[in-house]
Amino acid sequence: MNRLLYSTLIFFCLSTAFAQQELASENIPKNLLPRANAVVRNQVTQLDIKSEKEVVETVSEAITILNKRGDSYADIDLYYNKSASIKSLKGEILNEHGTVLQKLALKNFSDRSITDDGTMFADYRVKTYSPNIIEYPYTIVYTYEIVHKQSLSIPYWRPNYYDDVAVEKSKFIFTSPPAMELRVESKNLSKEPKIENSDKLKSYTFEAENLPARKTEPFSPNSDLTSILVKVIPKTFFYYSKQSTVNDWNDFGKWVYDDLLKDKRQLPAKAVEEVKNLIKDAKTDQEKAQILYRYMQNKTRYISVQIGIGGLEPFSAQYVDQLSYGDCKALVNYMQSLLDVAGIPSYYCIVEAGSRKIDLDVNFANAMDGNHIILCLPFEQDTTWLECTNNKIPYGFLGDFTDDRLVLACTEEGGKILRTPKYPHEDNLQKRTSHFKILEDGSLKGTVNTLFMGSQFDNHFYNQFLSPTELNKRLKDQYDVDNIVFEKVKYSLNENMIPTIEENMDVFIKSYVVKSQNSKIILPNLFSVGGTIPDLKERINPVYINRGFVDIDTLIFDLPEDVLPIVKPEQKIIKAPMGYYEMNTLVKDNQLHYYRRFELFQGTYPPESYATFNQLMKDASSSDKGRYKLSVKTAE
Amino acid sequence: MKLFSTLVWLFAVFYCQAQQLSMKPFKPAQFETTCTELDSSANAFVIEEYGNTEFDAAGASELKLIHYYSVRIKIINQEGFDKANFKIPLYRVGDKFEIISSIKGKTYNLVDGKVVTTELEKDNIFTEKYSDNLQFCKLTLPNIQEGSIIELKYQITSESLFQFRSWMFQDDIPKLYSAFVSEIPKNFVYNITVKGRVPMFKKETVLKTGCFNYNNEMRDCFSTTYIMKDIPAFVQEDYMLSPINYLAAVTFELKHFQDENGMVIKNFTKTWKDVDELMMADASFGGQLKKTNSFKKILPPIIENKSNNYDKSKAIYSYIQNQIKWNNYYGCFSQKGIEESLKIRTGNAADINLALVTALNAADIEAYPVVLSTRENGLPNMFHPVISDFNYVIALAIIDSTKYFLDATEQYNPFGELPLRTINHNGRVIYSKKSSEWLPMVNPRISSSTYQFDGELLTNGELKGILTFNYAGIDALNKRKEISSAGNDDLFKEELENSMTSAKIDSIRIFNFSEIDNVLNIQLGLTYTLLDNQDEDSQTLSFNPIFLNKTTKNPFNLDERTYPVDLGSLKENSQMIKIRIPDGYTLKEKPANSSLALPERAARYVFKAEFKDQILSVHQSVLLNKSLYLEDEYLDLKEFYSRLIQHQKLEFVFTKN
Repeated sequence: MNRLLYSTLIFFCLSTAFAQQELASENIPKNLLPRANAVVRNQVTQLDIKSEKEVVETVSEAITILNKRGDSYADIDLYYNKSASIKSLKGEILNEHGTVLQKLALKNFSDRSITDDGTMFADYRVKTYSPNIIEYPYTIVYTYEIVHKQSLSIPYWRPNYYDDVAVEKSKFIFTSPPAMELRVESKNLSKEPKIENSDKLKSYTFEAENLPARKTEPFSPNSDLTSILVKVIPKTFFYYSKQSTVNDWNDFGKWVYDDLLKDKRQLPAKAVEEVKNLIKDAKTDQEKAQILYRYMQNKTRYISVQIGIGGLEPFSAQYVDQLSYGDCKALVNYMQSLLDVAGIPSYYCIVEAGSRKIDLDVNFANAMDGNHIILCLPFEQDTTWLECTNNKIPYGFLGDFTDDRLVLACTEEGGKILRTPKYPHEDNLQKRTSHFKILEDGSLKGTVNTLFMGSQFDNHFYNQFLSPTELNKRLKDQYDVDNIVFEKVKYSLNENMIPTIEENMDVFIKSYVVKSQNSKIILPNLFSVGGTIPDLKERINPVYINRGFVDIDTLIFDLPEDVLPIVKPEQKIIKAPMGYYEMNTLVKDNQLHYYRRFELFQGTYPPESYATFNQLMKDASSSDKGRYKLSVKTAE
Repeated sequence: MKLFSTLVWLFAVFYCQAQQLSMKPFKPAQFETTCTELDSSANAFVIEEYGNTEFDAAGASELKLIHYYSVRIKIINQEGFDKANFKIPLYRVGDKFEIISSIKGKTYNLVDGKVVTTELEKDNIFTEKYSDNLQFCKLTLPNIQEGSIIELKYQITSESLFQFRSWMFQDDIPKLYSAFVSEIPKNFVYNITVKGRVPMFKKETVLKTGCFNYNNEMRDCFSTTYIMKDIPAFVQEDYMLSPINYLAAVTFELKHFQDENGMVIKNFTKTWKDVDELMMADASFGGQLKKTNSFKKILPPIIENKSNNYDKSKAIYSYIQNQIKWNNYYGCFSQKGIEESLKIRTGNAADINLALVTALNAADIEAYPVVLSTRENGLPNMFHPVISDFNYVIALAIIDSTKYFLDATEQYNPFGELPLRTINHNGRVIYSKKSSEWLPMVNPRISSSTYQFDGELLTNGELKGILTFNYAGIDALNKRKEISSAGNDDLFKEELENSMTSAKIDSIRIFNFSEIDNVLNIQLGLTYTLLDNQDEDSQTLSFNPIFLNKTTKNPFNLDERTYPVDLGSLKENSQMIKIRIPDGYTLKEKPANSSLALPERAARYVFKAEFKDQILSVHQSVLLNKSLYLEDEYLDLKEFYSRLIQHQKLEFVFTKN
């Protein structure tokens, strides 16, 4: 009975909303056209949560593609695996007047696995379709149904996620048996949801309409702060063979620990002996952990295999011990098993990795947040974090991949929200000192020494592992000066609390200084010419700087005999709320001294400050290109 | 020009017992093997590698090819760990995929002087169905450490005699020893091609008697052994043709089947004459060309007012270009057929360009298909026809005895010009009435990006005037695509402005966007901050008038070059700048006029400036007069760019009277 009711409902939606003539492009409200590459005419996502074990997802969408850039929004990607099966699909493509050009069915779709080069195996597949339409605008209308056999990882509603897509109408409906408890979270709604209860059904309806496209602005805050988002998960969910009741992250962490992690950390007796032997002379726990981390880095390598419980369950420590490889889950779990032998507690932590800092959604425990696992060692004095998929990086260093964000530690006592360490902007340092002799023919010969630290640590860290040929190529990209030759290159690593790497090079640059009539021209800032940012007339979003840093360049040039050691000293200082720039030039003791300091401060600044930011970058970049003229001594 | 040395083997036959080539059991002494002499910077290297392809007649009518493979690799350091990962492609032939079996993998580690062996387990071998025609067998060997030696063996069975796998001697890691044996029954004749620049250490053919059971009769085979030693790793360079052209390999193409007396029973790949016939008889090639009737109704309005064949051809070209959208698939055989493509308005390269040939023919214009191999697909075999080398087709129209190459896949590609992907030395014209022939594929038009500026410098340091960009050839094609993808002119203007710091665009006009035969012009009313913080009574104005798109990076920055530089077209980049200088300022310093050229004018740089009537005129141009530079011309090219980068550092200086 219920089933019949739903399908009538959907049919009703479809037949009224998607009348073809109405879909003619001229019916798009004019205010939705500017900046839009596509317009969602009508979209309905319906989740029928029939039980913890069955969620029926029905999507009906009509989207008009206005130009070539919008083409990708006409693509249909249907993901499926053992727990998600595609039940039906039908659709059609209309021209701008709403006349049908072609009909669509599943047989028009191509089917492929979605493993990428970094993945050995994953059991997800996708059926995809991309229309190939030559004339714009066109509209694609389709309906599909996917049945999920779990209720933890089900679609969100994000109607205005893409800046260049306008939305005429979008609707999100979910229904569940009245007795089922749901967890619902919504953000940035423009309209309150409609909630209806009957003795057979509970339903929520969210609606959004008339949302124009937006200009994509650089340095904008994470989109979930500004765009509409609705998530829903039943309190008691079923996921592959597991079932649990989760109210919050504490419960979620407990579930992960109890159902997916526990009992996976036993090592074979031989391995235990080996570990004990390794740490027998170590005095402190930090020392032991460091030895074991090094051991794990040498023994294992990262290979991604995603099978089993929706990619959430690690392979056991025994598996990694035997094969010496695993994915982030397996390697973290293995590292934990090593630490267990030493009696050092550790937390398996779920994190959203990437250079952009994204927190777990504190208010809504779910399985979609996080794409990576790291390890936390809760030492009393100094909590230590370990990245277990990297064979190279120093002990305790996370870098900009997972720094400064909220993560979930899955422990025996339940989930705990923790924040990974933040590198303050002054620790994200690149400090370069160069000393050159200017030769008669304008060539430069000298040394370039650079210290890298914090989030800048890995700018050049991996150079040391390259073969001479590859290193030469990489350095030419990093020091992009024509005719540069690297004669001697050395790296030294210092594993402090905040590790640093130093690069020492002997460098020769042929004909850098150019002769022009009675003078020689030098651009002293060889390596750090700053870029600029787009000049935006009206800024809407706040200015968000994800991570601050400091770059310091000092260059000293020994002047050749044939020029007068005179240059008008110059100093430039620019102060702005989000950054600082300083440049000094002077000649002293027959040497040209050049100093540059550029700082950017992490933070969120009001939209108006974008102009100041732009000016800072522009002035700095222009100053960076400064040139000096050295007068050639005239013969007496 | 000799891009790769191709040899067609004549069978030198030795009547002796073939030596069996296979990997000998592992010996701990192999841990001592190094490749420092060959390549001291390798992260991993192949110690030895063996391949063997044989025929198998399981059932009397079902012939199979069996390919045996075995390899032993030493992993030197962590950077070489990914050499323990294998991704073996298995293709579908007909309705069956090739089958991989007998996979055996082992890792040997030296622990405290003892060899520890870890075997690859079956559970850790994955078969992934990637698409309808391709599967991957994926595996990684266990327990990889620095210094590990890994070993992998498998066999692949294919039911198609056309799927004779090429043997790739060269890879991105060095190999000390690579040996391949092909055991081919006397009845089967393959065209065999050896590619690359690595010398063959040994090549020997012996007649092996009774090697192959066919219809309960023992047949003889030719067993040929190919061995290379000390094969360097292949390193890819910028601006080169596809690496496939240079990698050391031996390839096999089934030519014919003959009886015991050498009488040809069935021909597969054959002479060009046979290929011509085969192509013309194929429903999705020659069959399409017969459909001139499909155009009988369509054509009249299109060519109605066109008096000559040239104008007619252009009109037809333009019609096809706009009627059928390219679905981004290559192919020299039609996917949907031209009739269906015209109806649904989409198709692959063959649908589009065969439709073009057919439409031209329908209008009584001489036109032929030209099959070719795209740039990344590698050069086609020039010595004998290999149909599978070709993956694309374009049209050749002959109008008043002038030849025009046409490719209607790109909406913005002008009549008679070719997109870069199709420019790969030669294409084969299939005439059908006479024998096909090779024609060199070149673009008649230079690929050029230039700009002019006409305006004045204000005392506040701003330049104000009209800036006009001009694009031709492949540069115009790319720019038109860029403009079209911006959505509209305003958004394009915004993107342009974002890409030009210090510039304010007051107006934009785009000329000849749709007139794709003409030079594309983008005209901007521009205000440009040339001099920062300039105050009204500055005593000097010092600047470089080439204020946009200065060459600051050398595109040719390698210390040495192994392969030719292949640009695909001639290139021009030039600027013509006129700036009125504020009254009261006189020219004090100016960079010298300069002219540079490579031998035989292979490249030219010109810089000329004059100051007259308060107007500074500067002309700068960079011309690459060849589309192909050999490796020994590379350093000249590098020095050429280096000199022009230096010249662009110079400024003009004006002082107040």
